[in-house]
Amino acid sequence: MTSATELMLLVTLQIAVHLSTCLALLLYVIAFGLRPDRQASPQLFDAFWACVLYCAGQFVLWGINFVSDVQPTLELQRNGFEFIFRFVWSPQLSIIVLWFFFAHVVQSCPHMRLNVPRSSVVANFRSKTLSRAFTAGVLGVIIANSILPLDSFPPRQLVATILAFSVVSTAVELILKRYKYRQMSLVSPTVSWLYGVWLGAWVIAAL
Amino acid sequence: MNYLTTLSSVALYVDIFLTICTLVYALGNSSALKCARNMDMQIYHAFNIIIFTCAVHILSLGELLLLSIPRQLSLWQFISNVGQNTVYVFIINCVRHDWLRCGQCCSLHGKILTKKEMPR
Repeated sequence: MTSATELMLLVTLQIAVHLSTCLALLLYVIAFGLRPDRQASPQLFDAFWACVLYCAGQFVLWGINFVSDVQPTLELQRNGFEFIFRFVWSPQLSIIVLWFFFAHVVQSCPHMRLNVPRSSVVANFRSKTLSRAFTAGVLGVIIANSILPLDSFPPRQLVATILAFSVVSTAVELILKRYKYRQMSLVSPTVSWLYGVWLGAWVIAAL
Repeated sequence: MNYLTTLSSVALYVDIFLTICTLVYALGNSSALKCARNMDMQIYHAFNIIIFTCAVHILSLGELLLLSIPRQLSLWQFISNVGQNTVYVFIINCVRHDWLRCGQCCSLHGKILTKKEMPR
């Protein structure tokens, strides 16, 4: 089992990745101007706003966790499976479910209205860009940790820094894609970078 | 302290109950899963992950109970889990009602079409 400090770093980066992905999804909702048609499909309307509320609610919940104290969560290190489930599988899988759902409503759902023409929404999947962003995340966090040990920073500061970077990066992506290439896509190099950071934290803990 | 421990235990049982309900609801709508596969692979993958997450969540919470590990299910964790289950149920319900009936994806006279039978 990894030490308490490394677990703390993993938990902190997990929170940052989770919140940043929620934030990216909310930014995409605003940028695409997504509006479900209530009359055509009340179920889709409910599901869509439940997903948006869930993303927004994560900030409140993690905020309460931070204000109270993150330390109690480290008690979970006594139970490895429970720790991995709470901080690795469950949050990430929820995010992947949300991502798939949003990709569906943006790309092919007939009951969803968009501010941008659907023809300009493409699966703009450039594997080279994404793999570079992912590698940058993994290497970046390992190099940063070797220069300045990340666990010496307060958790709040680390989360806030990654959140700020994600917001700026996602905004730049959206503006570039929309106004330069006239295209919109849910596939994001920023999210790929975040997952790289997350994997990098596990590499640090494993080493 | 006892009050908090009791509250945490109740939250744990409620969480297990809700997760089992979500899993049963998802499995009970496996016809909607077939529909989703025909309609859109993204929603199909989402549906599969929901089933997988709920199953692992039940194992995880069961481990807490069986090993009598001090219950660490704090209020924010509980609310987050309940929110996650609620979102899952909404998505399953959306797939179930919307795409099972829309006639666009799979349902013709109540019959679930296979991928080969789908109109091009």
